[in-house]
Amino acid sequence: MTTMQSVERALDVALIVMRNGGSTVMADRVFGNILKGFKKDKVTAVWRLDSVTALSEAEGRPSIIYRPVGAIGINLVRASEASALSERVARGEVDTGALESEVARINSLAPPYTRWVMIAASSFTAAIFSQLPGKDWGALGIAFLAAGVGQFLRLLLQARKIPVAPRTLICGVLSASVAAVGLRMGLSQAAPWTMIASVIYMVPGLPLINGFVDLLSHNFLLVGLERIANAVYIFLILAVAIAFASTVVM
Amino acid sequence: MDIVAVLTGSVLAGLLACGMGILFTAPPRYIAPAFLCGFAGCFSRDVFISWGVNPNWSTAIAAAILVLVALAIIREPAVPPVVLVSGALPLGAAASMFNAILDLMRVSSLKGEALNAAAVALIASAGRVFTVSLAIALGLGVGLAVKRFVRREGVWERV
Repeated sequence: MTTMQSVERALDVALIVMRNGGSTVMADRVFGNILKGFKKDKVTAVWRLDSVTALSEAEGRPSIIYRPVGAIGINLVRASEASALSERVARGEVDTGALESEVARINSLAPPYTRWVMIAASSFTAAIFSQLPGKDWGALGIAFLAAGVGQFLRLLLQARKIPVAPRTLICGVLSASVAAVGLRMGLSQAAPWTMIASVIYMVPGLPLINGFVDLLSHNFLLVGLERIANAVYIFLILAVAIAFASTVVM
Repeated sequence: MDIVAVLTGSVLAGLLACGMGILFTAPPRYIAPAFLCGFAGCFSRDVFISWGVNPNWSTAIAAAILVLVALAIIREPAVPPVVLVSGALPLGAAASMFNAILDLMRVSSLKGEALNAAAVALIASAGRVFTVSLAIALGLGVGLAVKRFVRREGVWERV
């Protein structure tokens, strides 16, 4: 296999990590592991949140491979599988010829939970979050209902490929409005915490932590900053949704 | 130290980590480790704070401890990031982040004393978001560095 083909295969696996919620550090490690399996070195990848450029040398001439990252979602099963695959390739336990079928297998992995489990998890997470400052059954009930309704709509919009920003705003307004109605009915007095709990299932914790992991690695400073800016943008949308619901309903 | 309050908070943090793990589509076999990491992280942070350690340093130490807990309970070559991320989220600054943004929106419409108070609250919330997130990332980085050392030297197998 030529250097260019090896780099293409390595990028295929590394991009699974980037597209499914893994950090850039992890994606770069996967890229390096696969190339190690091909016994190729002197290949450098320049990562951005929207694209990756691999610089190598083929037949004595410098060559560049550019690949867009595409939409970034969350399916850490795929990211974990890609990482495990790269470790096995680096150790020589997987034939490099089988990489294409392995990539197809990982890309076809469905999320391990059904829609209803995800809705239940959102409600449960919101309810637990609402109890962190202290026991408040009213806040628990409000957050449970608000997050469940919001997540139900979010999964519907996700299936219709609605972009992240409008989807987050619509679901944030719905969840926060449900919470605001409950607060207006006097079910709880912990207004700010209950409102935040109602939208906690959309909090971009993963991009924020990945951003800091990238930032601290010192090799992916710009991608880290991009991720953090992206997370702040989602937080801003959610805060606007909360403010809107508070103003209109309460 | 109010041990009941610390344990209650830690159990809630563990359950929160479980929920987050499911929302992040973690494989079912990693949900129990996520609970233990969330519990261990929150418990160690609260214990260090009660001993008078700075909250940010406590968070960083707690993040490192949760990596070691994950390392102890998941006997795989690489600790799955989903377990670390889910376990670290209850240590996070989500509430502070929301407060910072809401304060930012409030500041633009206030005057006089109320403006001063809101501006101070905004700076405090923004500072908390930055330091807590940085502390988590630093702690995870230290924990992973320890993991690499332990696994490379084979120390773990000898313990």
